[in-house]
Amino acid sequence: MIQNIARQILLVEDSPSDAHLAMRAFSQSTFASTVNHAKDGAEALAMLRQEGDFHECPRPDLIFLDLNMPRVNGRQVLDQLQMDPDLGLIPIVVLSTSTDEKDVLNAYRLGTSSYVVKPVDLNEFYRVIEAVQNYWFKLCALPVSQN
Amino acid sequence: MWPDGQPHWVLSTKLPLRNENGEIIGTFGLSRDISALKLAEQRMADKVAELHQLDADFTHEQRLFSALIENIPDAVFFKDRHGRFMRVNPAMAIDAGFRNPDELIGLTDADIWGSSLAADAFADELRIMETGEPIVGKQEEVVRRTDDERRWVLSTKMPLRDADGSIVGTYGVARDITTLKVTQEWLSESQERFEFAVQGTTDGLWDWNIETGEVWYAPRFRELLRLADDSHDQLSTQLCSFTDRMHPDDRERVLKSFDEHLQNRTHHDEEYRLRLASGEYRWFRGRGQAVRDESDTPIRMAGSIQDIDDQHQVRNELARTRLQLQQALEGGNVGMWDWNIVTDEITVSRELMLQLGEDPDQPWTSREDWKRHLHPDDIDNATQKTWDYIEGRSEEYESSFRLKHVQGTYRWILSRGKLFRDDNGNPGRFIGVHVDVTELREAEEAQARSEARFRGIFNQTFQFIGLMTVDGTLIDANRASLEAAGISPEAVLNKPFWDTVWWSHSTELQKRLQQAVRKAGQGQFDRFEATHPTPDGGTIFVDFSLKPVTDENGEVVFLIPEGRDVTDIKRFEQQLKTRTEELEQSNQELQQFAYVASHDLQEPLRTIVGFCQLLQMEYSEAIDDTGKMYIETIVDGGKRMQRLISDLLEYSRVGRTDNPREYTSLRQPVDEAMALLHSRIQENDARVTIESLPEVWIDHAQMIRVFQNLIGNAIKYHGEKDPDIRIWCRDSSDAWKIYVSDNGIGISEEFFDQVFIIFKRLHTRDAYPGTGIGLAICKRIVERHGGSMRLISDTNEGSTFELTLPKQPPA
Repeated sequence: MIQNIARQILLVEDSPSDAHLAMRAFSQSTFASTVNHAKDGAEALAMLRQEGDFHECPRPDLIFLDLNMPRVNGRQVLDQLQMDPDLGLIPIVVLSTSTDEKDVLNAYRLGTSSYVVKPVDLNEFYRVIEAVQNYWFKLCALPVSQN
Repeated sequence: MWPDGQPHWVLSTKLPLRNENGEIIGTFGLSRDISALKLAEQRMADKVAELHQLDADFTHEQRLFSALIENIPDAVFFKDRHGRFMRVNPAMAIDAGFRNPDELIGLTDADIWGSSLAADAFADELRIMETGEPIVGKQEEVVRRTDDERRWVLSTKMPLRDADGSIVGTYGVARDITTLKVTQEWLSESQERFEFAVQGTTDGLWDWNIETGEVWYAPRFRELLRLADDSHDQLSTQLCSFTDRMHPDDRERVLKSFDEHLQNRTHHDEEYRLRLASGEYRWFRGRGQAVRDESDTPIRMAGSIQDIDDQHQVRNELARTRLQLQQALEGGNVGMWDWNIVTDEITVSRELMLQLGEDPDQPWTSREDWKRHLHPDDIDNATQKTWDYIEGRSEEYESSFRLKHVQGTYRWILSRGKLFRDDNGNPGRFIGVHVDVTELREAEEAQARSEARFRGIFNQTFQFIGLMTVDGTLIDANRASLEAAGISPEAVLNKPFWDTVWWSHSTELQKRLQQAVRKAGQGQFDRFEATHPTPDGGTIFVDFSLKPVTDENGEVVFLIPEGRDVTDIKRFEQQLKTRTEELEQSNQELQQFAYVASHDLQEPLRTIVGFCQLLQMEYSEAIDDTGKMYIETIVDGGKRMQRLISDLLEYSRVGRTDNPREYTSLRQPVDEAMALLHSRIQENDARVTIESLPEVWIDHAQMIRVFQNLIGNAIKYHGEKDPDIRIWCRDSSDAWKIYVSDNGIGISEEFFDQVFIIFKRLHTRDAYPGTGIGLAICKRIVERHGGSMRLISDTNEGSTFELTLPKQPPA
């Protein structure tokens, strides 16, 4: 069953293989989301700000951010988004391999809306992606941009 | 010579005074000086007057005349107009040197005496015959021709009248007054001398006529009593004026002495005080001697007083001193010795003998006695010392030697003395004392030994020790402290401690030291770390302390500074600190590494597993069963690896110290673990019984992990039965022992240690899942809490784990 509205998703993932797996997960989900893939933080921000080549990039309804600790690209994105009053409204789901309390805490401090641990098992992963979209797109009401 | 040393002439000659009958009417004697002489003169005049009387009566007493002239000892003569002897008496004859008076008849003076004498005599006679006036009492010096004997005569010559009254010759009497004259001369001389002496003497002479009771005082006497010359009434001639001046306390004694002297001829030699004109008293020495008549009755007493006030003071002083000395000698066990060098005899006091336990009634008499008692080793030295002094090589005599006590032991004796020489400088008497200094010497030796011991310790110890006064002056420093700073004692002793080289390099340390000195002065111990420079330019760290030392009243009398060189310790501390920091650093890095590595490892793992699964999902038709199996194997392997990495990460995370610890009941983490295992408990119908658990100092989250593991294992490894898990605790003095036991498959004893090894699994993955890290993590957590963990169980009886957690948190 295809869910109602087609949502825009921004996936920030610097690992190509992880990106591929993620894209498969999205495609296999029941949600007809359009996923834009940013290869790193800089690109993500450019897309969000619709700068340069990405001036026509649609505003995402949900951002999936792979923090890939301990690389800091993800953090920068979070930081920047937090500062932006409009872009900061967009809910962010951090995907991480770390179960560490501190990492979780840090992510929330930096402004993430939720923190999800990436399971190794692919089927599991598919289920997680489905569940997350289910939550944000079906259960939650999302803020509408004023711009 | 009277006792006072002055020449006083005392003539004991008594001459009878006779009247014309030859009866003795009195006596006169000469026993005194001026007054006596005056008296004699007076009486002489009297006598001459009497002779006059005799002359007048002569003619009437012719019958008695012969008797008289024959017997009278005076020379009687009758001469004619020419001076020829008509008649002489026997006495005259004798005086003239003839035996028979008749032999003189017809002779003249010229025949008897010298010519000039005779001429003078004749001239006198002629005058008498012419004038008819007698010559009375003329003293003539006569020299007998025959033998030159000189005599003095007192002659009276008168005109011889016949019945008609015409002068036919002369007659006279000559008394031999040779003795008298000699005496007179002598007297005169001695009077001169006496007067001279009286004037010269410092003594005040007095003369008491016992019969009349009157006293005569020499001018000096008055002077001594500070009486002005004209104040006669102050010193009347009455004896009481003398005795009244005596001090009331002395008077009785002095008068008694007078009495005794007069009655019993005892010496009158007394010391007594007399009152001066000013009213104050001075000490005098009064002596006196009585003159007695032939019945031994004292008729006069003459004496002198001598101002001895100054000597008296001195003598009193001396007596007092002597008494003190005596007492001291007796009390202080000091013996006296007295060596008469001339006779080589010695006298020793009782104390000296008693010092050596000898019989004081059998004292030493010669120096041999002394030598016999000397210790053989001391003989030479003692002898040498003695002669060095006597012979003038040394100024003082002080000698120490051992003398043998009667018990056989030796006593140390300190001998001191003084040598008295005679007028020629020759040694006369050597007088001194013996002081028994045995105890003193022993005490000195003991003290010297103790001092040496102390010095030894003081200077041998490698710690720094010194001695300070309460005000901070350093009065002693041991060798170690001096060497550490490379200085000599003179550089630092008797200086304020803070000014010395140990402290002068830092004003801060100086201030701290001064503060410590103040504190110590109040009786408080102080301690702090200090640094001192070393001679080679380095620095040493010193654990410095300052201790007050008090006397029995609690007063601080001096301070003891002490220092321990802790440079090495500090260095070790520093090294330890560095090492620890490095370890910490290393640990951190290791953790960081584990952390990073694990994350970095996860990513490719996901790729492997993920894409394999993609294959499975999207290309299942193109892969045969074997291929599917292969892919399944890869996926499995990847997942397992992921779990391993996760566990490893957790294991490393246990090492982090930043989790807070708190005092919590163990019940809490147990409950939370139970909650986490809720589903598994349910699935397996597990029963968990928990007794009361204590409060312990724990990392809450980690403890959850521990119990999660233990209870999880208990459930996992259950055998045939449903899992029955018990948790209880026991008090073990300074720790708690927590027990988790189950009724599962148990672990055989040979594997008790191995279960805790990381990744070690005792069973296959098929039988029981798990990475095998769980128990290792538990053990690590418990150990980081300062406790320990071990296994006590039997196969098929279940397993019991014992956790020991300390009650006090580890430092």
